[in-house]
Amino acid sequence: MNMSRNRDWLIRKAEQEDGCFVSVGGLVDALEQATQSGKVIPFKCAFARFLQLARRDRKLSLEQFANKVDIDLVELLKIETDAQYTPAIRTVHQIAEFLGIPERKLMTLAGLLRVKDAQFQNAALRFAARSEPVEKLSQEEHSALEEYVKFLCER
Amino acid sequence: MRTIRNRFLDERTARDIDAQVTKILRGLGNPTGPIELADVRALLHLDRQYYSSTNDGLLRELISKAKVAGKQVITRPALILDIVRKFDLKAFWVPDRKRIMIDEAQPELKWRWNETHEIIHSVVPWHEGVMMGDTEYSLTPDCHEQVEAEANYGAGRLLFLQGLFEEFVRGSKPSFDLVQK
Repeated sequence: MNMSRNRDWLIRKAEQEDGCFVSVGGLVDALEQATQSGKVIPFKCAFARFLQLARRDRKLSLEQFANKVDIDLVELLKIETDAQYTPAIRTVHQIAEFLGIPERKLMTLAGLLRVKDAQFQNAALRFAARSEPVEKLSQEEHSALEEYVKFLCER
Repeated sequence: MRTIRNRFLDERTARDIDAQVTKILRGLGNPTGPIELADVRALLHLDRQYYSSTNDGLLRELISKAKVAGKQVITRPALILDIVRKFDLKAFWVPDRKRIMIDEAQPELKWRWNETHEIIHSVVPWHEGVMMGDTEYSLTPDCHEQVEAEANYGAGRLLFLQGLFEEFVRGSKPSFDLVQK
């Protein structure tokens, strides 16, 4: 009997099982509710924005930041661009260490922890709102916007 | 039966957990046979105590002396009791006490895995911040899944001596005698 399996086979099989239920113990009700809700947690916009500004403040490209912090570049891109994405705990831990931010607060912002503190929530939302850029649109951006508005108004 | 979702750990997470396991195995002298968890606990200065999910009294007594975030949990002993009951915990780790708590009401054959799982929680750097016992923060289900999957991964790597067991199995002819060995 040949029991050897190469690495590619193992990775393919592991990817197939990713997200499947396994009966080893843990939560069930809360997990099913959480995965079915599909809600965007408002904090995550603040997290994405915070990370982007912190990175740019240090004049680091995405790639440079990912290398310095020892996190995956693709994941960093997802954090900054996908409001529904929840990062790995290790990733937030690494970022917190690099930026010198209390880990739990950053994890809450990233959507990994919940906090009851209303002040924290309000501060996150205010930051997200204030930190949106307000500079003038470029010519290309203006043209693209005009064209899209025209399209939306025609239908 | 309760279930959780299987999680595919990203490369860096698996790598860092493996690095912790490597440190433990090196500290034990790179054993080639089954590890003694007592040796692992001694190496990591961890304490182990048993409680019973069917007898609140012992658990209450054990946690009454614990502190969480500098606050005496005795003022809210119901917190840990609630969490143990609500999430049907088979074992848990109390970070500030460096103590692993094992539910002795579980079948004895499961104690080894449960304890190793908690040992991994104690050595993974990003787990301490998300372990239970805080009144201000709570884990999202996604975070809990991640943490548990990582501890399961680490426990497997530790108990099966990273690649050593796999090498042994691949190098041996499959048979029932081998399984019994």
